[in-house]
Amino acid sequence: MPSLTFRVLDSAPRRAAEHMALDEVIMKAHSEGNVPNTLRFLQFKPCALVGLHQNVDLEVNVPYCREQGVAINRRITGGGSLYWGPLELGWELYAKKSTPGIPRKVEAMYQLLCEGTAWGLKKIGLDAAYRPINDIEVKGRKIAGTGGTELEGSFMFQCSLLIDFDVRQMLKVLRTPMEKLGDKAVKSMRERVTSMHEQLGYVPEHKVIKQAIIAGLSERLEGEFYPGELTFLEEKLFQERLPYFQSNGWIFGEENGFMNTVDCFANYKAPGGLIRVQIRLDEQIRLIKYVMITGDFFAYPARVINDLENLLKNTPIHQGRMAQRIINFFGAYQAEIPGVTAKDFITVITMAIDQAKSRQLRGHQGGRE
Amino acid sequence: MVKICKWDFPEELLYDQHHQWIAQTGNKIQFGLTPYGIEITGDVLYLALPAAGTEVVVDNSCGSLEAGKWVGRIYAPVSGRVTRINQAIVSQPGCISKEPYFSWFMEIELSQPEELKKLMTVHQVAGWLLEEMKQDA
Repeated sequence: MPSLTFRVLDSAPRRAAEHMALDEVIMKAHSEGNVPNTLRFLQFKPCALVGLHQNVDLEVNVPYCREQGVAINRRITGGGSLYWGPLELGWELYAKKSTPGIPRKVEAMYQLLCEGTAWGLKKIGLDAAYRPINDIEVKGRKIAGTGGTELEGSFMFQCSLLIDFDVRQMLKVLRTPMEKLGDKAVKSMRERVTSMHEQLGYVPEHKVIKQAIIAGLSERLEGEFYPGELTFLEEKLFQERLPYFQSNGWIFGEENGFMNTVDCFANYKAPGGLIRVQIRLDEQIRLIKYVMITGDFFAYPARVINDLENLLKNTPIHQGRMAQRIINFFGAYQAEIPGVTAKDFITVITMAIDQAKSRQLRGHQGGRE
Repeated sequence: MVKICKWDFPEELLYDQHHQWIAQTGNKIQFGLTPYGIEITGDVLYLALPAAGTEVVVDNSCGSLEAGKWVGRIYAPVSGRVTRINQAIVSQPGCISKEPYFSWFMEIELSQPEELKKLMTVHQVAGWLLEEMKQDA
């Protein structure tokens, strides 16, 4: 009998504030040794969720969400903003940092748990694989993202899985560096993300997906999963904490406590075609949060651009670091992009960053943007 | 300097079980993340620290950091009042990985000086950490 066991919590779709409150409650209860290791499945009523340190107004189209009844909330974990449709499925794992078989190094933990999930998803016919650092992909397109946090001796790892994702709605709900919401933006996003519906041609029952995830995790962790419920303590804490997670204080927070961002873009005509980059940077212009690369050049394999974008997430701006990453990437990758070199990508990204810097300088000098 | 596996741990510092180093001067301490703590967490992209004047309690969370999509906590190594925040490191958290022992997060004025006795010396942290790593192997 496996020594590692997990209570499984499952419920009907909940409001975003309820799930965020439960995240905190279970994390605290687990860290105090009051509840067992837990696997929790999450379904939401449509909502936009930002990372703990993000600025809602920069990430979410607040007026549109209010008009459409899309809830907005803030996660206790990090990372970027997400749109959750009614069919999307999340799961979270709560365990001790000292759990045998689960690495303490965050990157290694991400790998183990993403591989376990991907392994489970293969059982229902999905060609899923771990994509460093913390995503699950199908043939180069993201199907699940993950994140996590810790409290004292415990950690929580969470995963959001796209089941029947509405790209158009996502582009309306979230503010992205893409300058317009036309068909090009939708096409561009569809080249980067996929869903179970798209991959399988149908939407499996949630029960089947959950069983597959449990099977994958069970094999990787050599653990046993059993159905459970919230304890009285968790219910009590949940009722106490829910008003806080519903408050504007939590959702919109303090103005100075966030990682603000700036967006920029540039076009560059390389011999092989036009390259366009749209970039989200941190406010100090020291870090690429993420970049989207489009254009009319030919790239083989098709996933090479997605892989390059993934590599550039959270890259320091310092040109030496960014340029070296791109050069190393193309040095190791068997890609064919006729008439476009690593240097061209470095050039266009640098142009966009320089544009953001000069715009910021003009702003500091009192100029208008 | 004591080397534990590939990481350096200065002898003049104290350490806690949250992978933080602590430097004491009189009745104040400054603290930051050890290179091993950075190895576990990843490069820090963002730091959220309390305002100067905040009262903190030993081992309680007094801030957070973000690395990739991971949110880690910063724990008060002692009880007391925050007297200073290192704004330079808040502005440039990338320095934490490059110069961990110069990248202090905040300064705390001790309210319970005896709590320092519970922190580990470099030789104690070496034994504790090797045991931790063994369990993680």
